[in-house]
Amino acid sequence: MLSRAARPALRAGAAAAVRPATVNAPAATYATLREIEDRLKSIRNIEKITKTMKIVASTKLTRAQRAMNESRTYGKTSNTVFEKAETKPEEGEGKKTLLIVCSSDKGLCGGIHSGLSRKSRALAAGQPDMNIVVIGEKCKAQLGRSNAKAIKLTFQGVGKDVPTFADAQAIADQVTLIPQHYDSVKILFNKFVNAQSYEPTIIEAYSKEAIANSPNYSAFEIEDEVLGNLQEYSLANSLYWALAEGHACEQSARRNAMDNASKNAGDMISRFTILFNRTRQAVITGELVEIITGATASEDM
Amino acid sequence: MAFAWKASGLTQAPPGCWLRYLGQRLPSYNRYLAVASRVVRRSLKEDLRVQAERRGEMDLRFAKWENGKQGENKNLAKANEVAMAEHTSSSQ
Repeated sequence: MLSRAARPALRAGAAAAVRPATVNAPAATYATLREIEDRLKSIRNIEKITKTMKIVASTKLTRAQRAMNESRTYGKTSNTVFEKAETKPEEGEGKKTLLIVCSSDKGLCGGIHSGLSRKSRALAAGQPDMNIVVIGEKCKAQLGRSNAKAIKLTFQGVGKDVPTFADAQAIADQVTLIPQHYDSVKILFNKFVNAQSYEPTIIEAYSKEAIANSPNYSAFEIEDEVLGNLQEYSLANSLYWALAEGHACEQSARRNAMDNASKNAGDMISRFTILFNRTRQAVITGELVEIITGATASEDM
Repeated sequence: MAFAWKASGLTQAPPGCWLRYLGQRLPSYNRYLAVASRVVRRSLKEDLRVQAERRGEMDLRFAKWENGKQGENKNLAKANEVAMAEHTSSSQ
């Protein structure tokens, strides 16, 4: 008896819109149920993507870190000369400075690019006639909005793979071709502190004059003619160091960002699953109540 | 004298260097290094060469900016060659 009475009620419940009296409440729950399901599905997809990206970044990170350690040796060794010679950057009034910002083309790695942009903006505010060379699309877009006048050159295509010394050399070559003389060249990059943190740091690439004016310069017995070579080579070395270290930072930052994203997605999935189940149960309970009420009512008659 | 090629505005490899016999003209020390390392890589044994040549790959593009406007996107390797060639011809 009950089951027979139940059937039409169920069918009516499925096509909720037909029943004008209860149209609002059940229709709303059915709709949200489907909405929740869709939402869950899309969050699951996003979680899959972020997890994969995290794994990719992890594998790239080990390679990037190895490259970074090697490049550090390059950079530090080449800078030993300047440390021993006690070279000081030429700064002060009327001195032209060039800032080389080492970011990369790819995003989805937290705030490392905006950290660089912020730092370079702060530097540019202190020295209005400073010129900027940007390596990488991300900082180019950010600095192109605020400091477009200062930008001299931009490079793209960095960050696909571990940077090579050939990259650094080509950039150094193009930078030396700028028809402007700079008294000081600063290279801004993200220094790798540990897997969680990094900080925007500057290494100095000295100009010929700065090298020639350093106090212990004579101890090295560098012939004037070779000085240009040393300067070019040390610029390439420092650039290589900065690029490799920035690359390692980017990979680790991306790994962290994707790790967080996956965790957040996991949280959302569990929350939505609970909500989904609760709503489903509420719908079922509501239907049962309707059926029973209908049955009791028809028995009385 | 070593490196006289650079300081005197000459754009040839150092005297006595084998690059000189190839008639390479090199306007910058980095270029000199790049050419030298390329030749070394290419003369390695086959298995090592493949590995080493990956380290020599460079696929950058660059753009010059004038007055806050981005110029044309150009291939860096080609542009460097052209610029170096111009530099060579003008300093000869």
